[in-house]
Amino acid sequence: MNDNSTYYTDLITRYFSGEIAEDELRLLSDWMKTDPQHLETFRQYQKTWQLIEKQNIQSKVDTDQEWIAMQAKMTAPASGYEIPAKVISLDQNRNRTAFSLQNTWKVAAAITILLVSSFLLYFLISKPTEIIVTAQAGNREQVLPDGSVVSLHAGSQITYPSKFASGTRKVELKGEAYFKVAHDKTKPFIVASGDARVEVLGTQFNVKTNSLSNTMEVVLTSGKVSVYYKEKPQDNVLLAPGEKAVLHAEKKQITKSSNTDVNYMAWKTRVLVFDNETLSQVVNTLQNVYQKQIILADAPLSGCRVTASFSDQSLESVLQVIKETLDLQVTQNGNRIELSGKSCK
Amino acid sequence: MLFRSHFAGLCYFAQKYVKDFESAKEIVQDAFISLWEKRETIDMERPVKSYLTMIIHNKCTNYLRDNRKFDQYILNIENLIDIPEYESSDSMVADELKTKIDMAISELPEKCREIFLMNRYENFKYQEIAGKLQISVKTVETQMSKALQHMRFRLAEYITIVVALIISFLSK
Repeated sequence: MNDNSTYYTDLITRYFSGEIAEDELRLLSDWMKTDPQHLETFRQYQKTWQLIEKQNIQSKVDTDQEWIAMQAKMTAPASGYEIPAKVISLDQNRNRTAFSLQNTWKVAAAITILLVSSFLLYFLISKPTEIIVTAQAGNREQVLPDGSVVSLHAGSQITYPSKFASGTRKVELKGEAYFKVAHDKTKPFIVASGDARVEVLGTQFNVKTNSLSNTMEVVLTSGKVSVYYKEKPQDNVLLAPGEKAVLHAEKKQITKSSNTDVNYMAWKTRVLVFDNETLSQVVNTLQNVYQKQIILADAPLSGCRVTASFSDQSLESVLQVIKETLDLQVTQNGNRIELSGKSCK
Repeated sequence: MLFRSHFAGLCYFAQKYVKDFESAKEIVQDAFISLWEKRETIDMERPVKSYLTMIIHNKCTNYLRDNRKFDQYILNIENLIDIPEYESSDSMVADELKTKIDMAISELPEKCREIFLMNRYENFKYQEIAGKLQISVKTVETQMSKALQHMRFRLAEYITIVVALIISFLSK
């Protein structure tokens, strides 16, 4: 192939891409006229182009988006949006008028049917399906449509759409989960539980909801988070890393404090650190992490202090260590674990 | 509604004239709005489709004239001087063809493919692509040309078939 044909192929490509200039257009036109072979070449490129565009067009056009855009343009002038139930024919002929009256009802009926069915179709097709993910026995990780990762604590559940609608990414939570939210300035990520909202842009944090006491606890690991009740978004609490917010549903109150519980994420990390911690606090943490009921049978034990750290240990191992250190007895009573003993050493 | 079933097809129709997708979309939108505004005076017994194609044809040729992208001869070659028939089946492509197209695109060298997709699917102009990829407009042009040559080569069998179909259709 010589230089010449490359030049004209380039021209043809520019033409079909809409990039051609006026003078080039003339050049191309003249070139096509000089030789039927050139014309044939052009025709082949034209066909190629049309095939590509035909296949392309469905993916390029978002009918819903276009409909909305068009509606906006339509309502700008004063005309209201009414269903055209009246058809006016310019023909004054009486026969014609009688005919078009009958036609009017048919048209009105047809349009109504079309509207109703497209309305239904719209909901059937375009509404994103809801996904519910539940962690039953153990913890469970789930990747959300935007790339965010949610770690669900055993017994917790999240609900989210298969595709995040424009504007927000909303996830409903029951129980406890750790969120690693992907950055997206255009769509704030919102965790909802009842009327409470935790809004983030891109960050890592832990949310614990308790349906019995109707409370929600949010602890922020990194990033920035805004916590509020949906009726009063202006009364929001901003959290900085290391801070905790507790929400009380009945009073719709939000309290902020520094997070003192080092083990708030232990359910996920399986790392426990106790630094001169009271046994009652230790037991609380263990209950949360291992999902077992643990009680102190003897009152004085609550004041005992524990200093120990565990990494990925079973509850049995942890209790073994505590038992040895504090000289306690561990008894299993059905689903309950009891710790008993005299006062601490 | 009319809108949903025909919008995409009409965009394809308009794009044959104006080549620029965004302009084609706008023209089709305006055509629908025109139709809507004139709804009282239109004889609803005539198929609305042909009314729309007429409006679109007019708007397109006006656009070409205003933007000086008008060449009588080429327009004639492309069979766009008189209003061509618009069939809704125009907008449907057989699965086999679709696979062939996708395969042909995947065979393009990486940069070439990227540029091609940016122009055809994401509707970026040459200038915009050059800016985004930090290359010259000339490079974009060359790559686009290469891409089209490759596509022409790979879709050769469909081109002749399509021509045959069109000829048989027109001779009915």
